[in-house]
Amino acid sequence: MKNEIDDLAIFGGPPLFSSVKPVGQLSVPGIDDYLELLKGSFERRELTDNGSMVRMLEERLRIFHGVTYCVCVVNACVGLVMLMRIIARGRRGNVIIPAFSYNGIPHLVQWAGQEPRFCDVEAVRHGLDPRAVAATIDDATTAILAVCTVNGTSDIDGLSTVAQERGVPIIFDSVSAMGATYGGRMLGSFGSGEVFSLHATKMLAGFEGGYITTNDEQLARQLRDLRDGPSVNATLNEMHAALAILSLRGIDDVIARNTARYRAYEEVCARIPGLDLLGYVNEESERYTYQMAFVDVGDPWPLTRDETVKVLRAERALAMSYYNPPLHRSAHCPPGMEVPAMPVAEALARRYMYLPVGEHTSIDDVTRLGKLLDFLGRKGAEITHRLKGMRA
Amino acid sequence: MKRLEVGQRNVPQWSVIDRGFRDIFARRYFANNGPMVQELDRAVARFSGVDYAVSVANEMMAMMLLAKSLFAPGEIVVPAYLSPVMVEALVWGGYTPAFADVDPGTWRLSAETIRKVLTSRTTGIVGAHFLGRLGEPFELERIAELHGLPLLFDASDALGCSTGDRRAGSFGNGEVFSLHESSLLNAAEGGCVTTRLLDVSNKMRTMRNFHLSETFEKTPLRMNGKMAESCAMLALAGLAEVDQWIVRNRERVLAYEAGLQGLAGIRLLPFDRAASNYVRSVIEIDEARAGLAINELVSVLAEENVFPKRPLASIDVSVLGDAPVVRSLRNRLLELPNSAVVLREDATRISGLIARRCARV
Repeated sequence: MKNEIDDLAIFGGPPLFSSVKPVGQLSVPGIDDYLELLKGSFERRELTDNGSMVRMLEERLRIFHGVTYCVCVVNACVGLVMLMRIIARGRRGNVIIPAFSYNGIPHLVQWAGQEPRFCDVEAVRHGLDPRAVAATIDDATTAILAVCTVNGTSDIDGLSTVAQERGVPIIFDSVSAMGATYGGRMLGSFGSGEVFSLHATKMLAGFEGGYITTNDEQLARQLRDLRDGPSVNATLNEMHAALAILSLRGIDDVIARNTARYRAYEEVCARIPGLDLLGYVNEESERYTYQMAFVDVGDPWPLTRDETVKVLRAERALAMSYYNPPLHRSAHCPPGMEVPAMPVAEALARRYMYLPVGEHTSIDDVTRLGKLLDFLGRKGAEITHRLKGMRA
Repeated sequence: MKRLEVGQRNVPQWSVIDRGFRDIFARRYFANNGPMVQELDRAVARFSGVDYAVSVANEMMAMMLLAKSLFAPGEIVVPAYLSPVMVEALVWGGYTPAFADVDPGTWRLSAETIRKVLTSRTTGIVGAHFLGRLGEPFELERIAELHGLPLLFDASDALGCSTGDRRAGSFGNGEVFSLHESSLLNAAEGGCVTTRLLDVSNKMRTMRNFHLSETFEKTPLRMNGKMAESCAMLALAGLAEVDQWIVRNRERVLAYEAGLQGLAGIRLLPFDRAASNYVRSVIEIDEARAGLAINELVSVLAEENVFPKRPLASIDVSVLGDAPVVRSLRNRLLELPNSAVVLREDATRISGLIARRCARV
């Protein structure tokens, strides 16, 4: 354990962890089960083009999400582009996106032939703010792309109302909220369609991959025609579908382990002034997967958010700042595009970090990380002083 | 009776795959430019005799990213038989494809056919190693240079082919290979861009992900086009066996050649005996001389569990415009089964079925 600040890895001491503690879920089923399931696909030489694994996965996901149609695709990004292209029906317009979100979002909108329109987010759930959306929609808006976040999906009711009033389709990037409910209903059947990921760092690991869920029969048919037709190459391969089938089978265990980890972080943050663990909206009535641990770093915590991240990373706890800078102030904003200030997004981007989670981080690791944070809190002034000296 | 189909489906030995997956699970490194992807990039570059290879999740995204890294917004000249997936990749990139006919003798874009669709808005040219045959890439390089336009090749089926001392993968500003299970090298799904140019490689490596840590060059647009470790492991295992697969392909093609010899109105398209991957066996049918309609032949063979395919059936004729050579090719070409289970004796039997059909007239 650390006694002096010289013991911190950033000042030359040994790192707290002997192996890195990343922020991805990285939960996978057992290798023997996986190989047993996959072997037949190799024997049949059936490794892609919607074989038995993809068909089985689609059926199980459909049931899991309580939705009529599920279409698997090569990854979530391609799924979003397909969805936006179909919904735009050949129009070249704009798509409304949150300013506080995933780096890829503005790029995907452009691959769909649309221009991104950034919108501010709400302070609690960090999803699109319905009032900001209402003020941004114009005649050229082809879709609202709402991104559901881990801590509370989005204000789905508020956003759906705006969408309906203005006659603009709404779609959800629900990658981060897979397995969560809104109003007691499992995500998957909101808006025109929702997109989920099968990336290994997400709740449902399939190496890489994605899927789209919808209750809209025509949309489902259009998605399938696009994926299975001659003009688009978007198939999820069988190796990835097989892994996702087994991951889905074990998802309750993963959620249980996540919840235990989250509760351990809750204990740590409860005793440390200035570190607030982001909570969940209506926790008693909704279901969440507790995948991530976001911490609001502020007074009286003695270090800045960025200093804290830097010190933790040196200890091999791969903390990260959360969506910083916000998209409209980042290299991912189309060059030359003028975007007004987004006060909520900009404030969130300055304050939050996320801490190691997933299968690489044990409860014991969280306890040790908590003790490290206690130490940083006590020695904060000294550490800040030394870090400033390093920069000079 | 086994199904004899088009599409290679070459699969490495299960013991190698079994071990490969165990290693990936033990490393817990599944995606995001992991060690297998890095090794595959090096291996494909070596195999194609170029400095750089960048693997991508599938061939459509490989084309999207390569086009975006080379071409300014505008019109792109493409051969009218370019596969619909590659055409759509250009459309997703915001480009307008300009469909050019091909030369009636070489079946390639020529100075003349390109000139007919060239405008002041043209910003690039896409060539294609048609049906895995290199044709005349040097000529196209010369034309592109003359017009000052960047050039890329759809090399989907040409991995392992060469002309002179240059291999497919080394032409133009970059080339796109397919690693789909129907291709020579099977990654289940996958694509790979090869190039001699460092800046193109850096742009591709940047554009295939959104990560700050994987940013090597300023690029107009990015995408999640990352290949997963699973696909890279499968393709690497395949590279270790690919020479045997080429030998098997060659035996099959030679059996087709022998079996179809001397049939009136039927010609197996020539292949470069020294420098082919022997993946695609395609016949050109003169329906009048052969005395049989392609569709009729297809249904007769289907009864025997033999499923040939018209290679240009899926191109969208409504966009072709004035491309008489491609229109005609579309109706004359038929690809014979080439999956891994189609052995020499199967090719001989299929040739016999075709010959009997012709002889009946």
